Amino acid sequence: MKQILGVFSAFVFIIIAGTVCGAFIFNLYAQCTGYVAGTTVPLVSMPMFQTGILYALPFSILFSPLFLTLYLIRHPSKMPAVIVFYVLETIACFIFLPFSVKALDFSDGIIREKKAVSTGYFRKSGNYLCFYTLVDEHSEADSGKTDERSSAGHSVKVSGVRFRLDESSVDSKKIEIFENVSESLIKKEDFQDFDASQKKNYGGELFADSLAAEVLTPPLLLKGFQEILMMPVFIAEKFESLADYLALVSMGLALIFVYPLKNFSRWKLGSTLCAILSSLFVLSVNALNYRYSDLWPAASAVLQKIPLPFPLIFYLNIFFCLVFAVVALIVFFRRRGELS
Amino acid sequence: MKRGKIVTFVCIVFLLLVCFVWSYFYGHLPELLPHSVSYFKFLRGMSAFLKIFPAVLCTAFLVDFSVFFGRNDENSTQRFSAQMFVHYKKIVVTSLFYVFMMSMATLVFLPKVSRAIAYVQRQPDLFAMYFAMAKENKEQGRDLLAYRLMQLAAQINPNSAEVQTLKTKYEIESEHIVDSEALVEIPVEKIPFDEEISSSANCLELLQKAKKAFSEERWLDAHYYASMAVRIANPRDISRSDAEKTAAEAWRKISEIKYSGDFELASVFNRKMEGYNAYIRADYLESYYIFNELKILQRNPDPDVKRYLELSRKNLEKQYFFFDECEDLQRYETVSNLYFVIKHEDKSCEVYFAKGVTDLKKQGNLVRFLRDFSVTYFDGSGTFVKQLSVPYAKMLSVDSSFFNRSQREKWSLDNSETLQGFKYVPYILLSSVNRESNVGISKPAYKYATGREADAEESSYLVVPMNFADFGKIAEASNGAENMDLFSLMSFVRIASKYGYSTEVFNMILQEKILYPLSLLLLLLLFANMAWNYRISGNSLFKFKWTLFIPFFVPLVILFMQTTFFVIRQLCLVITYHAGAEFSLLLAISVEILFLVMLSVLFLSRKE
Repeated sequence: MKQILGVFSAFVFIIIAGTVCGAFIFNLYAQCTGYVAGTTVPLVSMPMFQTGILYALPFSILFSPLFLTLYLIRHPSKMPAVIVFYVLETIACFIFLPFSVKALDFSDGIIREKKAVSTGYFRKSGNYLCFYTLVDEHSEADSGKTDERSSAGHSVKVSGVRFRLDESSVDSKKIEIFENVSESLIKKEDFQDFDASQKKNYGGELFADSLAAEVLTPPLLLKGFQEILMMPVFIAEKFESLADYLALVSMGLALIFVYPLKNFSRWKLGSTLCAILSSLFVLSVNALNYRYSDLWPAASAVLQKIPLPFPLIFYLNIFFCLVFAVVALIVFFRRRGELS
Repeated sequence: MKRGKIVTFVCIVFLLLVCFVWSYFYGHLPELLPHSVSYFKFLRGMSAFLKIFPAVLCTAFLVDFSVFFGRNDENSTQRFSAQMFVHYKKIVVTSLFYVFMMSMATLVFLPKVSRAIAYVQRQPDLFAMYFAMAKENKEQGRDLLAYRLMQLAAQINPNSAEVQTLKTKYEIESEHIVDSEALVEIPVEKIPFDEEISSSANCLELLQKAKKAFSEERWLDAHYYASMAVRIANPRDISRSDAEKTAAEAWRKISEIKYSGDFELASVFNRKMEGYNAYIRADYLESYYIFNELKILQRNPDPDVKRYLELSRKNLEKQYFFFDECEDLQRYETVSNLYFVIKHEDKSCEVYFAKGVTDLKKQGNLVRFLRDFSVTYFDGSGTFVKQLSVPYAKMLSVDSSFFNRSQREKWSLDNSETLQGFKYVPYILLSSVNRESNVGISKPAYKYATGREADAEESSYLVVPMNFADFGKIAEASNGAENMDLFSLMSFVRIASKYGYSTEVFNMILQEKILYPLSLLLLLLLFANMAWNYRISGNSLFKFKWTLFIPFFVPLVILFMQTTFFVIRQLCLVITYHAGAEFSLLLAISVEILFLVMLSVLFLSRKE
């Protein structure tokens, strides 16, 4: 009974703590992407926090099988507790997860509020260093030009000076003064000499201010992990048919089947490593299905485009379940053989 | 525990080996100059090692304590047992040592290595630029400039035979240049700069010097001091008429030499008088070249030539610098793309930019050379006014009390809030000349807003209304906040927004660096908890095949550390944004100490 209660309490704690932490981190991220030097934003925004809860809930449900497995590695339990684990996780992945993903449709999608750029600060933009001395948020758009609109619905005209940062020998390009020019046109010109890999690695579009983008663009490994964290959002974008539902719950099932690997090694740390790597592997492969990856373009293309009765990822997830089960059985029988 | 330390040592050595093997044999090489390839490979291997080192050390910590706790988990049947306190002490001691090693690697050695790599990678671009510009200037007939540029290219790439050949060719061709272009641009000063004339000298003092020189038959000096005495005398000064008489008498003596009949002596004398007259009317450039020419012609230059050449040079260097001072500078540039803004009370501003900065120590003073230097002026409404740009500018530190009232008003030395309480300001020379021969002045180019006329007299120098010491901090900040060391960050954060930098961003980086050791300690405590939870069983032997898990742990630990520090960085930015730079550090430290206490309590409450 104590073990059953322990599993149940651990599950509830994981879901609640994961959701609250996720919402907090989401708010942090939203504040950082919305940062513009010289302006202010409110510390706490209820709509932002509510959006954070909605984003974090499916994430914590997806990771709950892994964390509960780690709990059970630490606290080896008898069969009733294990059954409770399977029941809880099955309900979570087959019922709660789809609902929480669907609930993302109800969020207003506010990641950050767009703000105009401010004056008086140096900003690196592409191959240029820009300094704005005048920002006019209320000017009319030039006819015939498509300008990026701020949230106020007006184009932003800027004046200032920009300096070429690389060693260009063309004198006319080294320093340029601009007056009353559209900000989006300036930015387009700043990046026109960027080569393909530079454009790919630039994460500044997410940020309102390039000053924050310079110091808050995540490293490569973390970028890949971000794709996993953002997966519920990508799933919600095309979650309509039975096939989508089956793809989602099959991923949940594959994550549940990581549990049998908890006895992979007699050294608990080794088993922990095995469980974490297996879960991350399942999540990474599934992320390729929902979002095109620059790191693995061929894999993304195969997963997304091969025509089958059900999505290819559904079959892959079932395959992962079988592999994990077989490995667990092999380990089990080897241990029994050693004991006898 | 000893075996664990051996495992840690082996992991580190293995990492070092892997990093250098990768760098030397497998890593893709960017475009580099041939002589820099080996050095670059070494730096790259070192950089990879320093980046991965913290993750490997944390993994070794985790594995080591997982095994140690497995062997020593008796007497831990209750929470907060004495055995757990003993383990905690061991963890803290080991953690502090590991934190020290990781902090040194990440905060001290890695930035130095990164800077060196950046410089080596820039070399091909710089070389190509100087080579192309040298050829371009040669085609346009600017032989001396072409030679200087080719010389710079040769210094960056000494192994290129083509460049060395061209350099020699340009050197020979540039020595035959004679240019008789008239020179202008003479700032008028009442008294030339002369160490023998104190700033508080009056007419009587200078008259006494003139009489002393007269008695020693130094006619030129006598005339010089007497002329200066007349220049600074008040109309009612009783010594003024005496000074005029002394000057006239000294001139008569000088004229006797002129008409002595010795042709050679007379021609040298005439030239000397031309130089002296140029000096007296404050045309220091002309007087410098004349006395320099006389020095070269005379095998033993007479004292007058030496003295007035030196005086001319000192006064000249207040207005211009020499082309050859820019030799070797590109190679020793310490800063690229330096930028800052000076904001005035009327909301007008000046935007300063230099492509490269080289620091030199000359006679105990710091001199800075600014490559591709420009200043862009905007008025109070943010509209462009004018811009000046120059290939090279020379910056010195000058005592702000040196300037008179009109100069202080012109350069806004009294109005600027950045200058209050500071003594030394940057003094930037914009025009340069050749040291040996008169080939013209290199002056700044001006660009004006449409409809605005060029100013009648544009100065050959600038005084920037800021503390000279701030310039050094800005130079470091231009390289990026992440490349600054702790002390530079601490002093720069307070002045960042004055010069167009974001206080929040720099404060965020500062906090992250200050909190880095504490954050590592938190991570290690977390790993200690994991090590206890997933320790090896008491009665099982550690199998060799389990060491195969270790390489798989490292990427996971890297990911975990990157995620943790990324969240900490965002937290630092948000705290700074809302709490301000003054309180944010205290708040961040408080949060981390809270987590430290929580993790410590969590560990001590562990039981079997």
